[in-house]
Amino acid sequence: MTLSVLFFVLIGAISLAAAVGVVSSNHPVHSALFLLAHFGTLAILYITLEAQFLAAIQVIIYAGGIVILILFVIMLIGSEKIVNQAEHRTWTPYVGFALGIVLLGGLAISLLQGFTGVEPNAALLQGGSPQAVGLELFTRYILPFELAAVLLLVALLGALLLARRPKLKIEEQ
Amino acid sequence: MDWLNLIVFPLIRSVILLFILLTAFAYLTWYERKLLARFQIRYGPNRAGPYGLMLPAADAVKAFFKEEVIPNHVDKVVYLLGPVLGLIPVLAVWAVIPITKNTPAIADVNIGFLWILALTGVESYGIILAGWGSNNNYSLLGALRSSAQMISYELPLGMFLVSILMLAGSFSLVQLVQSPRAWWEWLWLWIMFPFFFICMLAECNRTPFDLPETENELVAGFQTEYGGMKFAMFFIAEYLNVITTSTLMATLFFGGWKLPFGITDFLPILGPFVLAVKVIILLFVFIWVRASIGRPRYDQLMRFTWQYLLPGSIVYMIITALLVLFFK
Amino acid sequence: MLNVSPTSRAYETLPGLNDITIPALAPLPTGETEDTKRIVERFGEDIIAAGEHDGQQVIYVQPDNLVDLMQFLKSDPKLAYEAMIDATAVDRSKLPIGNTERFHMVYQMRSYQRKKHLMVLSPAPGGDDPVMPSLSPVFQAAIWPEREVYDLMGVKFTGHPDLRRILMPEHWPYHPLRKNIPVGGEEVPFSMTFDDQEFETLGKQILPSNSVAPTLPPGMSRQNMILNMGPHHPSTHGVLRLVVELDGETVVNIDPDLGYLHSGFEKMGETKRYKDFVYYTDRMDYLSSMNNNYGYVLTVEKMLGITIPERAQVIRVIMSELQRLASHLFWLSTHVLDVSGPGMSLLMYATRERERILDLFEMVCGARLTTSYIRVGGVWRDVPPSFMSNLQDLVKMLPKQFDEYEHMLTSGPLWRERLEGVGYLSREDAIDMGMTGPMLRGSGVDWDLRRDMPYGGYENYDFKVPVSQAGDCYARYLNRMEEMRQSVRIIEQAMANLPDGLYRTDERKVSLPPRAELDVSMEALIHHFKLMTEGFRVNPGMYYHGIEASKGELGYYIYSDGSGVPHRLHVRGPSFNNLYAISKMSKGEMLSDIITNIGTIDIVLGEVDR
Repeated sequence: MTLSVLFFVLIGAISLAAAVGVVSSNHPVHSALFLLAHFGTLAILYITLEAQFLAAIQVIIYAGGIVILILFVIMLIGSEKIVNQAEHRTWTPYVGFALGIVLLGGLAISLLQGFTGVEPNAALLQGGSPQAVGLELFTRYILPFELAAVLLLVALLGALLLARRPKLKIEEQ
Repeated sequence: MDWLNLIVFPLIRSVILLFILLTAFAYLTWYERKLLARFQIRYGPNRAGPYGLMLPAADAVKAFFKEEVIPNHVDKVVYLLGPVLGLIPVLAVWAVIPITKNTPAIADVNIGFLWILALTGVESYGIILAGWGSNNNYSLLGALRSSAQMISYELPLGMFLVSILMLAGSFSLVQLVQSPRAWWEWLWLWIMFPFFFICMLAECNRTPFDLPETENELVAGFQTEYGGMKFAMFFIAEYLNVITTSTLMATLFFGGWKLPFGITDFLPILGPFVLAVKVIILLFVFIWVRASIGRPRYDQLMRFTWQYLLPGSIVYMIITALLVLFFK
Repeated sequence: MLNVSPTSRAYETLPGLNDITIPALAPLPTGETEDTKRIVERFGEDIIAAGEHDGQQVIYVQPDNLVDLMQFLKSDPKLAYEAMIDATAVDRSKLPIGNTERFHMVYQMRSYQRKKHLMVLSPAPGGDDPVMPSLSPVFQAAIWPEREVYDLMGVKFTGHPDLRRILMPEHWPYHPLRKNIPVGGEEVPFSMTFDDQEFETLGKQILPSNSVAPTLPPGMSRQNMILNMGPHHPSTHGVLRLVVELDGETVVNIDPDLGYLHSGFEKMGETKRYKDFVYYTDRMDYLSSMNNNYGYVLTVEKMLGITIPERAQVIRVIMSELQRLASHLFWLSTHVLDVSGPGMSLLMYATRERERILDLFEMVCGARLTTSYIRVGGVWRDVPPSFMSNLQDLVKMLPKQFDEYEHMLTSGPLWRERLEGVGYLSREDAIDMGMTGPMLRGSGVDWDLRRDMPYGGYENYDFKVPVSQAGDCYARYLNRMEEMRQSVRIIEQAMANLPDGLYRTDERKVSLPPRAELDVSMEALIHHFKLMTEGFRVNPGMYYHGIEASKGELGYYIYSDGSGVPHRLHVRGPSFNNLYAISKMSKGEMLSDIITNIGTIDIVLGEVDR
């Protein structure tokens, strides 16, 4: 018991440190790397909760997809400009700090309420197995699931529309 | 005794596996050089030892004794993280691959498939970080190509893996190999094999999909600024990736450690050797492709995935689902 | 028949010197042709002289009217000189030229429809600091040659879009082809101190990327990615440097940076006797040295006016076609390597066949690459007895090998996908840019010097000139494949008709007497001595001769003052002029296509930089 607690504390500390690193590091690529580390430790935490499926999904989607895309975008845009812009906006840290406190408060309230109110869900306690997750997703949460799909599709189309531009015209000489 | 099972035995197994894999890597380089030479009417390595068999050792010694140059203009942490992150996922995939009856290489997790998918997703980090950290235009272009290519090819790859998964009905690779298959299942799988192979070529950055390091355009792509042992790490990662994907394909499509008619079920000790032979044959195909097929251009490569491979894989998956629904 | 000049340099007696507006020592063009008549009618007094000189149409024009004349030459339907083949300059400061201008510009014009060649000359006003109107508005083909003239001669061009040095470094203090710059022993600026800008990066190869601020070529912006390809790059075929502006992977702008292999062959030519420069020609296009020898030797022979024995001519044709095969085979192997990556085994296959051709060269002259086999007056030695049977074997084997390559490439979808539509060059552009050889024929111009302006007995052979209209890399690839087959056909015919006889002219003024003759003939000994010590002299004049080398038109322009060495020797390398198209071809295409385009132009940097 103590061993697993120790493990949890260790991983949790790394996770938190990585999260702090995301917001505190100067370079966007370093931030993305801290984010990657953070997602990795989250996956490990899932495994300690016997939710292997969730852990794998976490790595596949966040590490294998999202952070790569973030890095991709940073590389495409070029990182220096972002750093420069951030320096000009002196109000950013304060607003961020205030918003963070609001978020933390909200989370704390909902967590405290949740711990007292809702019964643990039986399906989720099956160790987050693929069957359980799949059944839950496609029966009980089918509407939010499909809505999320539509939302993503809209976002995809919007991005396409924004990114599309006329083909480079070669000067006729 | 719990910690013994949890830590010590897997550790010993890992060390042995690592040893075998690195040796296999070393001789894969020899195998490839020799085969390529034969394809190209040359002799290939024949100086270091009989048939040039000591050449990998000589290469290793050379790599070790090279000066470790870290250019001034690189982002040091990211630059050094690149080769490391490139190598780890390739090695980690091996944990779940069954080498003989009821025996995975290290551990049988019930999410074997997802493990593979997750690690193939993380594989590209090495290249991306190396390319960005090198602070060099060629490296950056290589990294951009690589990340776009890998994300693109992972999608059809995932679809194909899901199809196999549906046929097998289990996330575990050990179960997959041992569960019996009907003849139409084999046939249906082998129809998919060429396309899966294409995805794997792209996933390994092998010719004709080695666009991240196209030496005739990008000098060496993402590894332009690397030398010595750091370059060797990329090299190891690339070749181990080839071995790993070959093993994976042998496991998924050709019965892994099994021989037909259940011969290996009675003699499980043969399992690893059968697997090795299958892998060597698949490696030959990899090298054969390299010797005979030219590169497409980058946009052509991407068009192929998004316009043909991805829709095709989705159709394949739907048909598989129907087959499983009605016949299994 | 023989046109060997008197031994004394009797400048005063030469025609043309009386009228001091005419370039010294070059004989007045005499008579008139249809074309010169038409030009004189149009321009009247502004034409200093016009007519024919040793079979070449020559026009001297006042610099003020040069652009008008060129416009007229290009647009007049009865003249239709649509292409400028070459532009160069002559520094005449060491000649007794009186009060005439020191520099003269020389332009080679070509009419593809009428199969005519015209040499246009114009004095450059301004004395030691000459200024000429630029012809770049009329012909794009003038842009690079004019940059070269500016770089090497110091002639400035008004209205030139991009007048930078092209071969020498940007900070170079001299214009090396001027006569007052000596060959060797001059003050080369290697005495720079380490404080100089050139040495800023010395010893610190690995610099923080922002410490060196390179100058961008004109027309490029830092908004996009600037990629520096070369000079050490795997597929720039030598030390070519391309500054590429990329938007994503799309090429916005390209600026080739030449001169890394500049070795001053033209300057060296001014110090070597005519027969000695043959060895230098090998080193220019080192992949087709036979063709280089051939072009130079033909020019000198044209000046001498000697006839070459039949056997020597046929041997020359065989060698020239073999060299074309070797060059094309090497082009094919490297092109495949560039386009498809190193795994493609075709590199080794095509190189294997090329090796056999080089073996034949070794058989006839002992060298494989720098052959120097074709000499003034004939060839170095007769072909050895076993040569013919070996050639027979090769000729039998080659078409089968070509079939095999075509089987691997032509029908392969990836190969077509990579080449079709890439590097498109329209017919008008190709002519305007002064493309020659396969680049020209790939864009639909039916022109081959071997057929249309035959030299060395090419009129006796039956061969087809492959032409395609598509103008892309695939068309050029197919053309070159067909050219190789046609070369084999020519060799077959030449082998069947190889006459017996002399392999070198017996005109002792230009060709060495055989060893045996030296023992019995005093005259032979004298000839030998004269040839070995001071070489032969040619009459003063200027000559241009172009041959169809493997990469395009290889032209030699020689300005002779009547002595044993050329006063000015200029090489019109096909690679140099063809490389100009890289920018036009690659704009708007992908990064990979640059490499394909370099391959399809088939450059050899030894010739580009000379």
